[in-house]
Amino acid sequence: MKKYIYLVLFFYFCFPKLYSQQDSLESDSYTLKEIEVFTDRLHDFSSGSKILSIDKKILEENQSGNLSNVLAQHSPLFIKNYSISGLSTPSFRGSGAGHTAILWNGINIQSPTNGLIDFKLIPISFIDQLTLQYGGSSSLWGSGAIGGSIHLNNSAVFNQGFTANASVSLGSFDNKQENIGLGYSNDKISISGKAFFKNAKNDFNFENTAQLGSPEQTISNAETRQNGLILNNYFKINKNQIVNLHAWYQYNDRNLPPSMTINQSKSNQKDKSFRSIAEWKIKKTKESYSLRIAYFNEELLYTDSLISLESKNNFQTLIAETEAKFEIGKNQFLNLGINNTYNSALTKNYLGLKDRNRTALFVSHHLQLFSRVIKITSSFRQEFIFNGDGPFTFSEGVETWLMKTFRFRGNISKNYRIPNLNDLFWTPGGNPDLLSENSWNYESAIAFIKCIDNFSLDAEITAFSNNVTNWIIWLPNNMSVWSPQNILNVWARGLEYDLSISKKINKFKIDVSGQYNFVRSTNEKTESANNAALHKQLIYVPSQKAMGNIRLTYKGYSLAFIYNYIGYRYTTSDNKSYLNPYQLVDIYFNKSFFIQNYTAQLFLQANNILNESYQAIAYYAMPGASYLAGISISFNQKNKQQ
Amino acid sequence: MNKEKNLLILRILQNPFFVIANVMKQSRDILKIRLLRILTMTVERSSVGFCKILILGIAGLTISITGCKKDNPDPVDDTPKPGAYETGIFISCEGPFGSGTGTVSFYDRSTGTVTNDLFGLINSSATLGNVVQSMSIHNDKAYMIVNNAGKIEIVTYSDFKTAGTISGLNKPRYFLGINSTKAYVTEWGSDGLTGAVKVINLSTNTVSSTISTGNGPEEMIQVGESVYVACGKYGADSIVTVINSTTDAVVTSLNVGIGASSIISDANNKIWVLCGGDGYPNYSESGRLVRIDPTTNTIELTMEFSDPNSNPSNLNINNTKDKMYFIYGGSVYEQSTAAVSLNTSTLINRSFYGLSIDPTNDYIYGADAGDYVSDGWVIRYNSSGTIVDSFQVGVIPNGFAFN
Repeated sequence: MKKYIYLVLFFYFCFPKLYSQQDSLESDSYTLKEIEVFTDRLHDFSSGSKILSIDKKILEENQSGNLSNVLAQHSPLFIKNYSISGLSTPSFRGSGAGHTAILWNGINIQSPTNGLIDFKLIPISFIDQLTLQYGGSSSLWGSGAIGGSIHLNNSAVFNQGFTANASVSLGSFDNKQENIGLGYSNDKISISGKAFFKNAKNDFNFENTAQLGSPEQTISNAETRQNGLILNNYFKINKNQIVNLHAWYQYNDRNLPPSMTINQSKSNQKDKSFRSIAEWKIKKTKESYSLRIAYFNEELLYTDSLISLESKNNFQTLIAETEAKFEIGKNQFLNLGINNTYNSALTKNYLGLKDRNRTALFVSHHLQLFSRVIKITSSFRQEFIFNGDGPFTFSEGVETWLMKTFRFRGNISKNYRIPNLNDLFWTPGGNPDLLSENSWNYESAIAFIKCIDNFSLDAEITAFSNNVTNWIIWLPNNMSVWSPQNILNVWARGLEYDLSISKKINKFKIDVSGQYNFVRSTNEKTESANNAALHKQLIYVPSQKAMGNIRLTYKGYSLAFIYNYIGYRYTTSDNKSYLNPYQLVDIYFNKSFFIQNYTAQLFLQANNILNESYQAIAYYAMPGASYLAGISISFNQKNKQQ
Repeated sequence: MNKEKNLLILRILQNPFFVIANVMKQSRDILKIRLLRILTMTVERSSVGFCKILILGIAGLTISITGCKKDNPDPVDDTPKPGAYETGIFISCEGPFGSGTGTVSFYDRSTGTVTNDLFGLINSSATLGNVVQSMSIHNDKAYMIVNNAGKIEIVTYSDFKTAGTISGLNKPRYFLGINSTKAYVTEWGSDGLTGAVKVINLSTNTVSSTISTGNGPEEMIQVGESVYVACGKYGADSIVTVINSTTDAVVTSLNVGIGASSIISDANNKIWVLCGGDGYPNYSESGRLVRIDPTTNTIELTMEFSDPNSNPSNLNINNTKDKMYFIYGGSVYEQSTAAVSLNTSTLINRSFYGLSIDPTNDYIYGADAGDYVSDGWVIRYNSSGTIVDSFQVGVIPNGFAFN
């Protein structure tokens, strides 16, 4: 147990940002006694990287939201939304949609076929911790971690007795969601299950700027129906061993609305996914071992009755991973691991069943000097792909404190993304000779951190540069067949300003935070005769995103104002066409009531209160002002011996 | 007082946060609101330490703001030139895939000027839709065939002002004007397989009837009373459907070869069909160039291409209708209508996304779509294949309409 507490303490020390957040947790009656950190690699071997942990409070108030909403509001990611119900993918630090690794309890869940995951299909209610690691970290997480990585983690709570939770929410455009959760934990086991049911008509009105006179229209074919179940179970076999079982099933049925330039759409997408992870951990005084096995089975059925299209895809993933961590002396850890990932995909778009197996060896080392004033981490990863190239990556990070107030960090890493199965096997056009995309990532930052009594301030400036080569794009080949090729070289660089201030006076608390991100992500190489795209910003990468957040907390009341500004996004590679900037203001209000074993929470949300008419992707309408209200009731019966 | 003021100015210069703190202090005195006091304290306390960070921040911000100017789009000078489209070349551009809208560019031969997105420019930023497949001029109108959106946008070509929409089409491809009140439009049908010609009533701009054709119908040509429809894009079929344009009845169908898609008529009133072959994934049947005698509706000549791996496309003919041009194996070839075998020497050693011949001077127009996400180019060659000049048009240029 002590180990875990140490980890938590270590975590605080590493990321003072969390200090204020944890503080806010304590102010409420949520007493999370022990938090288990499952993805130790993130905490032990990412010194020098920028980490953003999304406040638990934000996750709580977005229990009927999805990853797309939360990251659009609270992270530097630009979320590319194909309308309200369609695909939602990120651009992290000026990178492409497949350049952000998404890990669930440390295991990558990006689709093996297109390398993406739709952020709208990840319900916030299924995540206990949401952490963003900026920049490349392929040496820790493997393929895809070029622009950054997103960690969706579940954490165990022991000795809580019986817990039950139910919530309902109602929102604009007939958006209804119900969540229910049940859990039991004593000092040996912790079991919990959560389910959600969501139905939305999404029939909002929008200004159709694609038509003469910009008439107001109602979006059609945007209905969404989702339901899911997640089970998180933890069993302590003895003092040193724990077995964790995670299972996540989800069914999504959504209609995809037409773009503004098309009158109607009859397309529908059904995604069915089952993901499971089993983990066994052994902890000893100076060493620890873990073994993970993950199995994912995903099904995607896309139909378009207008063109009688029916495309069914099924893909499966089997991952086995084992690692061993050793403490060397008092100031060093060494981690050794091996990962084997097997993917198979059955789709009409390939000629028969296609699969791929790959193995990776990874080593990480952490060194602390001068009683933790300087931390240095080094990581290496060698991937072996059956019948393909095997990228070698590494990262070297350093972090140091000056006068307990200034933190300097720096990081150099080499990262990669392997071609996905569509790139290799799509018919027609798939190119089996593709190489992995590579990136060199550099970053450094200086932070000023101050915590006095009930006041905390955290300000940071980060500069980064990320050079991606062999970037895969699809272009027609000599036979006029669209085929992927390792063509682009992209240089993304930028500056990030982060500021968060929090102040507590008796029961009143104010948190103010702001972020400003500036990214230039330019095309540095073109092979075609037309090189108008050379040195131009990539399409759908805004060079500016600014965020502001004010939260007032008093007793059980919480009021938050969330502001977002997204700058110009180009829609053509020569930067001649663009979408205008937009700003969104959201207001969240919560009130908690505590009655004996019950906690009730009332929440009201107003999104886009300025009623801004905007598009994230050209000609895909997004909703104007919308509202949501809901109530959540939790019950907790503590164990008797406590 | 003056000293105090100077001190204040000095402080302001030193640290802009004092300004905020000061303003708050004053308003606090007036309003006596507790919240403001907290804010003031927060700002005051943070200001000292934050000052240092700010200096660094300002340095960085200056860099990014000066950088920003470069990152914000330059204003584009697009002043409408009404009435200027009587003579010239319209280039239809498909627009970015997925979410984009197609556009029409206009090239003025006499001045060499290009106007991009003519439709949006004249019609208060209205869009044509996704994807502009082709464009035809008939009578005093221009018809833009919008494939995904399943419609045809109509404009009066002299001023390019919108003059109606024909909707209710399923994957329309090409337009052929029959007379002042009737036109034919090929379409692939809702399933992409049920080929048809839709008969359009040009007085009401509605679909009046449907004629079944082969699958994947593409270009059409009229000789006398008969309309010849090339059916079989991407290997979907291998026939030419012949329609009587008076009765709208199918006269016959001719088996020309797999992948029939381009069709023209020559000076002798013979019909030439270019078949692309079966293409992906089989690549077993080569493309063909076939001559049809429209008086008997029989195939007179079939010339087979040697390489089944390359699909010949874009058959065009010059003004005197004795020289044909097409794209094959990454090059442009010229083919005499008198020849009985395929020309094997290339005219232009480059491939294009779209190809056409200007009837006024026999210039060859090649459309280069570049990276398919930026404005494309049109490259002009004289009839002997020597490059004349080039100009930039919209995203993914594909079709041409000469006037």
